[in-house]
Amino acid sequence: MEASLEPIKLGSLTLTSRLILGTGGAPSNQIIKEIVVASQTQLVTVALRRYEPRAANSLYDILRNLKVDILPNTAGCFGAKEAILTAKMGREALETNNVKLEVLANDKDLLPDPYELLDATEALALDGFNVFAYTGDDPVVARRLEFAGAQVVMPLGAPIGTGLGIRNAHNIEMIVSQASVPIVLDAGIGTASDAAVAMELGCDAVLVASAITRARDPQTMARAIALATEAGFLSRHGGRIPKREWAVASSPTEGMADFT
Amino acid sequence: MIDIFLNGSAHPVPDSTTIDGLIESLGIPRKGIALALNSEVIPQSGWMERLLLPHDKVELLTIAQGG
Repeated sequence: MEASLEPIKLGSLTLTSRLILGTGGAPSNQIIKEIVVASQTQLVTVALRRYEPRAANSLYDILRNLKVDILPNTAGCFGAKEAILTAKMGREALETNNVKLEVLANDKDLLPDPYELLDATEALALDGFNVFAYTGDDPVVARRLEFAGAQVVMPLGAPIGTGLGIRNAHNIEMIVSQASVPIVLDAGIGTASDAAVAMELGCDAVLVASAITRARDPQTMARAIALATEAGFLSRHGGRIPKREWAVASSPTEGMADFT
Repeated sequence: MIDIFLNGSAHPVPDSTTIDGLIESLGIPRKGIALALNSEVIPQSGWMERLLLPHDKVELLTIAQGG
């Protein structure tokens, strides 16, 4: 089978697209519709927030009509207790055991709190959730999350919304090399090439929100990042050539004309 | 009538109102929402049975944009 068609299993889902689309930051629901179509994603993330009668339930209807799977997150939670309750609300609202678990340490860098995250992962996994754990790029924590029952580990490339790309590529490689669950690069992607790099490092998928939703032309960027994700995946499977210190001619060195 | 707190604001409901009755009175679709009563998540299957009491804190959530 061509590598690009290899489906990936994330939680209860089997997907052929390796781009998960975060809907946060989109200027309108119409744009969300356009970028879902342009990216050909099969999985989108959403947050849980208080019901506003005036806002109606249009995002839910739009996503259901687009026939994409919906992954609820626990964005904005700063402790295990709050995140666990939010995960349970997501399970009720969307009838899914899949949850993207975010437990943040503070609201400035939005970095995950590994201690609270591990506690919440363990509790939710025991409660039957398929935990997609959003974590830093520390290989030790990634491994601990797997032991705690995470079904997907999602290390960041850089803090949420920064678009700084993958700041510690070697750590991502180490996380991938020792993982026995899928690794999804989450946060930090700023442009298409970052997604390609994540996939070349061996990630199984990428999650992208701001780089698409806040792009000047979200629809075009959605397509670009989808192509880059697939290109990176194929590139990984195609097998890069070894890096060498000195040039190696690609044209034959024999059979040269004698012009002396 | 009694006062409960719905998403942080005082909200009057008739005595002996169930969660189901509250949702009915709000006239909102039942898909894509979740409810917690005093920080306990109540599945829809339990909405008919739970009576609201004065000062109960109800959090009614739905999905929103998120990354």
